[in-house]
Amino acid sequence: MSEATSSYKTATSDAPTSRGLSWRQKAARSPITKAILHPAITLLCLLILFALIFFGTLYQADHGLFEAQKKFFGYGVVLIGGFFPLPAASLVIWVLSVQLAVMMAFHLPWKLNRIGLWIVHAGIMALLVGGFITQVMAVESQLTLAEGETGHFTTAYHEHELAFWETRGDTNMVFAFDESMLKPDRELDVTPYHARIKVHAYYVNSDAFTTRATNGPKYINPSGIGMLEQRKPEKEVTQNAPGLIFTLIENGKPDKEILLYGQELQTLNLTMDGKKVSVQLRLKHYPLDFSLHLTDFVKNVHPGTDIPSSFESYAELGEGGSTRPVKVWMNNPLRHAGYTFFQASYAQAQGMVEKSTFAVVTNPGRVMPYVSSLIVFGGLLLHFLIKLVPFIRRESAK
Amino acid sequence: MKTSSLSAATAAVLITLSALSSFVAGTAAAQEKSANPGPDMGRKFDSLFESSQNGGAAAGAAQAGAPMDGSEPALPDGHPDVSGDPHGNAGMGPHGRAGMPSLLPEVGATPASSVAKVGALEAVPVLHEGRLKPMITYARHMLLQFSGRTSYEKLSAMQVMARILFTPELSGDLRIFLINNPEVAEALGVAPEKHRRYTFSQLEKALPKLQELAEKANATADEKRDLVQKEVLRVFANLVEFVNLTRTFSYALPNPIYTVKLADTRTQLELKADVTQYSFWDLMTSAQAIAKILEGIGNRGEADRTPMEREIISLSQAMYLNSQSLHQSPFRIFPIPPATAAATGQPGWISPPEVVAVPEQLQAYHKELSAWGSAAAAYRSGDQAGFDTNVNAYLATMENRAYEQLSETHFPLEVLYQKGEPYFWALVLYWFALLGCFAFFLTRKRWLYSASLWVFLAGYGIHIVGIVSRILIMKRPPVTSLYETFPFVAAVSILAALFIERFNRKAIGLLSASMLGVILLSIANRYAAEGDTMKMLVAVLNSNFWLSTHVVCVTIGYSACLLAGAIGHVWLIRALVPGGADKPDRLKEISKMVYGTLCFGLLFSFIGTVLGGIWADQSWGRFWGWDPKENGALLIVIWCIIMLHAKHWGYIRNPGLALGSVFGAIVVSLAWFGVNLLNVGLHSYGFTQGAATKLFAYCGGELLFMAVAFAGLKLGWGGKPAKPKAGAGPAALGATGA
Repeated sequence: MSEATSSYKTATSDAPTSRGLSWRQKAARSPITKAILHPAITLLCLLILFALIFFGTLYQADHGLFEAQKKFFGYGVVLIGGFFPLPAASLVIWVLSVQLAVMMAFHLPWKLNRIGLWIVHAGIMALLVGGFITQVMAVESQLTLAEGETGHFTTAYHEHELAFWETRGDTNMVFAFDESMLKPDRELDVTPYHARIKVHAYYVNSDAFTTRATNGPKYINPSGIGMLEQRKPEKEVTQNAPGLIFTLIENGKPDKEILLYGQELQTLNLTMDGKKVSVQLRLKHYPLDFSLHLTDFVKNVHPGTDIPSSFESYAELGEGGSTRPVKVWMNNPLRHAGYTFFQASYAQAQGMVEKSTFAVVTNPGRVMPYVSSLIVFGGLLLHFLIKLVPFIRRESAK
Repeated sequence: MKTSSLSAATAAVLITLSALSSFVAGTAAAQEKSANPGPDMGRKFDSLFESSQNGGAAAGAAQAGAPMDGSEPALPDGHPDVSGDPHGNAGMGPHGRAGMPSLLPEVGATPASSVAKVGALEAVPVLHEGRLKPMITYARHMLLQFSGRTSYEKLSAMQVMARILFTPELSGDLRIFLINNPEVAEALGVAPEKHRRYTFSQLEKALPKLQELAEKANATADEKRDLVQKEVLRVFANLVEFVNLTRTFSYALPNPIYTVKLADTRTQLELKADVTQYSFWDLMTSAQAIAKILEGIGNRGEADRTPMEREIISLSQAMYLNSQSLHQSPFRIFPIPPATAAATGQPGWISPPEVVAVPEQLQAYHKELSAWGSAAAAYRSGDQAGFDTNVNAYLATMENRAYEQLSETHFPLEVLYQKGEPYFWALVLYWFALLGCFAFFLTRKRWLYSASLWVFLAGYGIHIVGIVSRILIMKRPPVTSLYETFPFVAAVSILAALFIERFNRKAIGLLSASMLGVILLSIANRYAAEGDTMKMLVAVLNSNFWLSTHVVCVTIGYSACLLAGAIGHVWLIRALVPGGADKPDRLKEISKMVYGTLCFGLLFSFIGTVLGGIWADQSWGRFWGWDPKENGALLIVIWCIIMLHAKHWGYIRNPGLALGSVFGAIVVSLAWFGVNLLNVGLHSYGFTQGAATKLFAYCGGELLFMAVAFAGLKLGWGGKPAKPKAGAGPAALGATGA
């Protein structure tokens, strides 16, 4: 057996007594640590991860990324092939993270020739922490602007919200419920207008009909929709059309039965608490502290072909009364105030104003992958060299 | 000199011709009727060409060009003029069928000859698929796209191209149209050929049917098309491109509509005396004389005209019609001055038919048109010296006009690259080295080893020259397409194998290297048949920095893991073959190689994957998106981690490591091109038909090999079990995960 195989054993079995050991070594010898660090667990976790990614990728081809992510990369149990149960990826990664932390805390020997391994594992730890931050805190949204248009907020890709707003001057005062709050039979307070809503149904995906179900209730709806029918969610989650039915309860007024559909352009206009209020089930809005004004969108192609060589958006960034010109193009995003704007898409048609779509991301963990991968790379390289140099020296000496 | 007076006279003639237009219009309609006596077939075929032409116009810029790529044939955009043909193809060509004139010109009164050497054409710049390339690249690409080969019988691609361009009437019998799927040939009612290659004359009969099928296939969404539909579209696009090519120099080729019967006319117009059929360009060079005669006729009535005058009037009518018909050709060889290009938004190069279609351009390009006209004539009369002189005259004129665009190119190198076929010769040498290695293992003759090594190194040198040439030609990092990954991965894994060989001169590195070289370059050569391997890049890839870091790292990772797999094979085979006193030592050495290579593979796979994430973060705002290709790279990383840790903890030993590295090669093949077959995600480029079957066959074969090797090791086929020590830890072979 090569010398590389023994580190696990040296730390656990070579020392004859516990006297003279550091706290770290003592902890390493405890049965709990040993159990946690059992290599079989690590290998099993890695194998499961391998299988999950493999089958998740196949699943994605048929069912779309969103479904695959939910199923394979979450916390539940995945049935591979419909019968073979495996824990989902997040769970497995947590187990590996705990092992990694314990291993680094108590087990990995403090030796100079192990420094590469130390660095590698520290980097992986940082990568995992960064992944966690991203998973919890990153917000992805989009902003589509026609040439000449100014954006003050970005829009979610698929999460919806029930929004109430009134316009004061050139500002909209918005009060909104996230779709996750819209659970059947839940009552929610619309505090600014001293009202309440009671949710009857929220469909993630639905069809809308202008007819009314026989004997069904008559709903208030701005576009004349009379009935909703639930549908299986689409493969592409952005194609879902949610629907919401709720009762609006106001003091001293009769209850209103309201139906809203996610793809309506019209807003429902009500008078609530003496104010003119608009209500809509819409893609979630994220307000910006600044504005972006699209002046020009340019698509270049390789000469004589339709193969695009670049997409470029020229815009004005407005903040605190002053503006500055900015350019966003492929591989060169605009970064400002924690937001990053990427050139994501465009719409171009004859007789139409060109439109440019930006992917907008805020992610406090954004730098973590950069830092951690640099650390891992350095560690791997160092470890590899530590192993390689003596090898070459030995071989050359032969 | 006639040519010198040409430019002055051209405009005058065209104006005179235009004045005759109302006169001509009536006759044109009559001609159209008689030219298309036939059935709906002809009209229908025509109509698709027309409708697609409109479609092209709606799309905006002058997209006279070829299909965008092999996978999605663009509909034809040239007007083949089946009806109302000003070229007088109304009569039955030798290739035609009843009621439908051939799309190729008929064989003229003077049989055309050809010249043997067309080397002068090699460096003629052609704008194709967005890149300015020497004609040899273009010709090879075209022939490859048509026939799956880069030569035809004894003709080189250049010779085939010259025949199509200059003697289109003789190109109908070239057996150059590959139909992969026999069902397609059957559907077209064409008798299946043994080598699946057909002539244009054969297929022309089935064009209406083919068009019908192509329309249907075109209406089907891309991902829903079956293999037959894809093949139909491919063949149809090829035929259309071929027809367009045959019309490239129609202005310079003799045409029955320019038949001059009267010797008097010939003398008057200073035309060549020994022939009766002339080309548009022949008459154009006599434009001044024609203009003079037309002026002389003035308002005299029909009855007062001499026979010569009548002939000249009908000639000028035919010329007018010709100038009105729009031909498109994928063959864009005339540079538009940069200033004009910028002003009009036109692409920088234009094809001869596009020039001829606009009267004003006749004057602007008369030097070029004239040089090609004379070259065509020289070609057709077998005049080698005249051909070379005229092509070189064209090149000289063109270089003056386009020196700016040309300064960006490396034509001599590219011509050399195309003619030299470095990857092909490298492959040949790798084969020799591989056979030499086997011979060495059998005979243990040291000279065989040295010979193999030197042959191999020579092949590797050529291989590297190929990669470097492509970097210089395209001004891009070495890997930008699936095709380019093959030679590059081969080069890197070979380098690593040679590194191993350097320290362990037992031919194991050499054997693995030649195995990988042979396999990967063979795949590359097969893959090259899919189309041009030097394409322009879509916007997101148009970044040399990321291409050269992320892609290169990931492919180096692939290389190392493949090499580990190859050495793993060597280990297993060695372990299963009995004999040899030094066997245990030898196996131990090979194991170390596998282990080291895997470490190397992990390093680069990891870095490549992370760099990919960073690129994605820069481009799309997310570091990781569970894209299939990303997952594939991650699978490689995880597999390497599993192997190294399992070995480290003693869960597997040398046999397990060898088996695991073979499995690692399967993982690499799946991550490398397997995910492309899923047809989802950002990396689903380069999907190849039939590749899926081969990939599955490979994976199945490897799994079988692993199973057999595992059983063999357990049963002790190689004599003593490879690993007698029953140490601590689980069974050494158990945990390979295979």
